[in-house]
Formats: sequence, C-alpha cells, structure tokens
Amino acid sequence: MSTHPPHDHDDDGHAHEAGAEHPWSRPASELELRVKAVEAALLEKGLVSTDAIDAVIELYSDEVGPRNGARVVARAWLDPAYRERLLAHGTAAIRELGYGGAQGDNMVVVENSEQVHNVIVCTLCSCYPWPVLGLPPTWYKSPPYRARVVSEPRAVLREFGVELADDVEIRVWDSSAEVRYLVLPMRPPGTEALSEDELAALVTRDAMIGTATVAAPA
Amino acid sequence: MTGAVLDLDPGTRFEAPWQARIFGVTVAFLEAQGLPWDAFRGHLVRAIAAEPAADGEAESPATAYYAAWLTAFEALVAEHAGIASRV
Repeated sequence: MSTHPPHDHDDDGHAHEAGAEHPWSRPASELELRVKAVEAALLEKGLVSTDAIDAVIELYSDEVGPRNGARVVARAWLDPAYRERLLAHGTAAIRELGYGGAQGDNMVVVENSEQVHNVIVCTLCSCYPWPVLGLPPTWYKSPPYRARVVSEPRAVLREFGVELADDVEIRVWDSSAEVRYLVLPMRPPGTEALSEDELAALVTRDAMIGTATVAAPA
Repeated sequence: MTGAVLDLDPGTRFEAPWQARIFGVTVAFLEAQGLPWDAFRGHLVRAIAAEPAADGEAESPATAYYAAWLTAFEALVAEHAGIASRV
C-alpha cells in the first residue's frame, strides 16, 4: 500500500476513473442526489441558508490557504520574540497575524530542528488547521497515510522525498478532537537577506505538515 | 511579491461540485446551529472506519472520503432532528 506521492499543488486532481464495476461502487449521481436532498431539507426548514453555504465554499476555495501559514512561519523566522510566542501560545500568536476561526481554536506549533523532525496526521479522520493551511490534500485524508505515518514514519517521509539522518528523531503528532498542529520548518541556509514576503514564498503546505522541508532558493 | 493569499498555492480545489456542496452545508449547518465540530467529528470517524477499502479503481479517494462525510452528515442531521424540528 503506498501513500500518494508528494505533489504540493496537486489538490485532489484525480479524475473519476471509469474502471470495472464494483458491487459497492456508488454512481456519482447517487451521491449528488443525496447531497441535494439533505441540503434541500435543511433549507426548507430554515436551518441553514444558501448564502451561508456559498460563503463557506468560497472561503475555503479562494481565501483561506497555506499562504496564511507561510506568513506565520516567515514571521517566526525573522522575529525571535514572535517565534517564542508562537511556540508557547500558538492560537494567540497566529491570531496576531489575523488568522483564526474554525479548526484553529487550539493551535499547537511544533518546531523542527537538526535533532527533531515533526509531522502531523489525523489517524481517525482528517483534522487539520484550516485557518493556516486551508483544507487538507486528499493524501492526508487517505487510509494509507493515516496508518503508515504513525507506524513507519521514516519510510513514509522517504516516499515524500524527505531523507532524514538516522539520529534525527521523528515526532508524529496525531490531532485529537481539540488540538490542531502546525509544523514550524527549519529556515533554509542562504536566506539571510530575504524579506518576509520572500521567505513566505519558500514555505510550502507540505513543509507545514511535515512531509517536506523548505528548500533554499535556487 | 505581493504575499497575496491567492498566489502559488490557492485554496482547495474540490474534485466535484457535490463535494464542495456537502462541505459547505456541513460547516454552515454547524455554525447556524451553534454545534461544535466534535458534534460532527464522531460521525465522521465512524463513517470513515466503515468505508470499504478503496482500491482506487471504482472511485477516487476524494469520492470515497466525501461519501463517508456525506453519510456522517446525514447521521448528524438525523440525530438533531428533534432539535431541528423545534426551530
């Protein structure tokens, strides 16, 4: 069983595959009908509004994404006092930059170092720090990743292209019902002259999950 | 370099409109009803655990995931039908 290889910009771009019929396969049309039915029932009862639904979809499609977390990381790299606040009280420090909301009420930031590499997972479902990373990629939600990163993290990281020395400790953080984790990756060498925006541009989503490191600029 | 949220790594692209829809309905419903994420999470965990192991041929991983999400949300709505009907 393999995890999905890293594609930092490959957000769920798998086309629906027209393979052999399986007895349990669900036609997409059946799922669409069920979604329409439950939405219509709730709208009819006035329990939710179309505007609210559209606003949620737009928020997570267009506005909230990993660029938020990248700015947090860049600020921490540049400002030692901010870094301390971030590691001590993640939610408040992230809020200082204007980010917060659903799935970000209990943030814990874990810092990578030469001795420790952190990686996050939600073994039971897909818990993920939406305000700083947006919605998770499909591989993060997949059964192989959720199981294997806990049982064989070094192998999984290698599949993602992250090679760690044997003496580097890997810490796997399993999101509980409350806590959401964000990895503070190591600042690459040769970036001393970069501005906060330029540093933020180097930070990828996967680096903040822990399945990548931040590369020095070419 | 503007640092705008939309550059390089924009928000999620849902694989299909129905996936975006059920995501939006769920989050909007939780907010409208003042329910915490945990009210939904238990159902999601159970639905994911009950999913048949996907072999990637019949449906995409995203379809399998949001199919579980949909089942979980239907269970949440059924659970809150008593509260819902009093509104």
